[in-house]
Amino acid sequence: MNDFLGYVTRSTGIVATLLMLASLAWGLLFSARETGTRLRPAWWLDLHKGLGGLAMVFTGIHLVTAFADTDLGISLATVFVPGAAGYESTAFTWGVLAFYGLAIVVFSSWPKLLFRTRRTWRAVHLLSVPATVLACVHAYQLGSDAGTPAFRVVLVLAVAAVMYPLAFRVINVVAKTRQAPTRS
Amino acid sequence: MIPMDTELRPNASIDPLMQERLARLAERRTGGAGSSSSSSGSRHTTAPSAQRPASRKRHAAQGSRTAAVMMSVGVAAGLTGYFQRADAAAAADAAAASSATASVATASTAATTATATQVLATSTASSGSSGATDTAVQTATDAANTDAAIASAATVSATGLADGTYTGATDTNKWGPVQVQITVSGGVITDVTALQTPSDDGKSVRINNQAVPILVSETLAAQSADIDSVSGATYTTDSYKVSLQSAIDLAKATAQQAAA
Ligand code: HEM
Ligand code: HEM
Repeated sequence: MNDFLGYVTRSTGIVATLLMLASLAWGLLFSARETGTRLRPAWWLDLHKGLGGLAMVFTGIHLVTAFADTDLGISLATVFVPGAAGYESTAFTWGVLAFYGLAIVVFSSWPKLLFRTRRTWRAVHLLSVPATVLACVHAYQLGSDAGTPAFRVVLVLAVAAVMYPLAFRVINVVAKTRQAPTRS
Repeated sequence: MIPMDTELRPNASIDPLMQERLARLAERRTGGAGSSSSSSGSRHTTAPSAQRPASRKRHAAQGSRTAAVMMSVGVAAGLTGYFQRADAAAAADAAAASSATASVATASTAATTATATQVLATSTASSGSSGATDTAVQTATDAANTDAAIASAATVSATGLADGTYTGATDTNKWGPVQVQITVSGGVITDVTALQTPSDDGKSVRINNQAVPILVSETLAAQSADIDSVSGATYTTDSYKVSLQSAIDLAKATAQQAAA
């Protein structure tokens, strides 16, 4: 049973990481929508939310199975307190912080309650970027498969794929700030 | 000919484009039967604002969302299965290797004492430079492929253990090899070092980082290989006990040798 839980921890961890990366990409592409491209905004935003929610669900399964796997001896403190792990403490800490980041991003957006100003919401929502980076570091350091070429290739390719939306968005922001003075 | 859904197409004289749009809205309101070609095609042509009232219930990316859910679940299940298969294969390899080692071990048990004595001779001769002794023992162990070796030995005490450092047999389980080294001082086991533990995968390393200190403190308390299993590290515990027992046996054999 523990073995099985370990496998589920690994697979859901990988899927959660990929979903975070995908959600990041879709969010960035959506936000850069004013570039006059033929993107379908509603579709990008809706899929972005779907991917974000899924990432949360898979991270949840990941945590529950990691906790339930008694081979790992993970306590509640390990799951919720950064630096509380007795071993591989840094790798766990990145995971815990990524988890908090993800949870804040998702639950500050999903029930549209917490932020009434767009600016604060967006500032909080941009936590998604460091959170995703931390998730990748955590996966890389802690994963049983981190050493395997397949895992590395997938992770590197996924991260590389997100560079396009990121650049797209950054260019978009730069273009907007250049325009700003003439507008106001 | 009268169409079946007359009520959805109120008036044939209405502009066909308008008719199409009305039909689509009606379809959405009723939940729409799956993603019909008309609704998926419509997303390209209809402005987002026109969809707003309907998209409250229906997600704009319904199909893609479903695909994402299915892909995620599929990938997770596939990876889980793959990990399981890969580990089972690795375990089979390790089991084969360990049964081979086991037969060698049985065959060489009788020879162990003899080899140990030889090593004892070597190490007493070169006592003083412990670094050299270690290397010598290591070479002796490797060369003879025996189960145990002694680094140094001196006094024999009432516990029946001769002072010195003893390397136990390597016991290979499903996850990998385990080998321990004990230090006996004044007839008491004062230190246990795990020379080898399974380290092929991250999970084993994490488990052992946790289990080994517990096993060591248990050993120091019990002064024997009769110790409790660390939950979650059963394989490691069992192999640890085998290796530890062989090291203790060696310390006893050395004591007897010295007494004789
Ligand atoms: C399920 C919960 C989520 C909801 C409801 C949500 C909602 C949104 C919305 C409405 C936007 C558009 C902001 C705008 O341009 O007006 C957005 C953008 C974005 N989202 Fe999310 N999101 C969620 C989860 C996530 C997750 C999990 C990530 C990443 C791990 C993420 C990363 C982003 C990024 C990077 C942007 C672009 C922000 C910018 O460039 O200004 N979101 N999100
Ligand atoms: C409280 C936070 C977390 C804890 C305690 C935790 C725990 C773990 C553990 C124990 C493993 C090793 C599993 C094994 O090898 O058997 C692992 C691996 C992994 N985790 Fe996490 N994790 C956390 C958060 C996250 C988050 C937020 C993500 C990404 C969204 C993530 C993604 C991964 C990935 C991809 C692996 C690698 C799986 C592999 O290839 O072996 N983890 N995590």
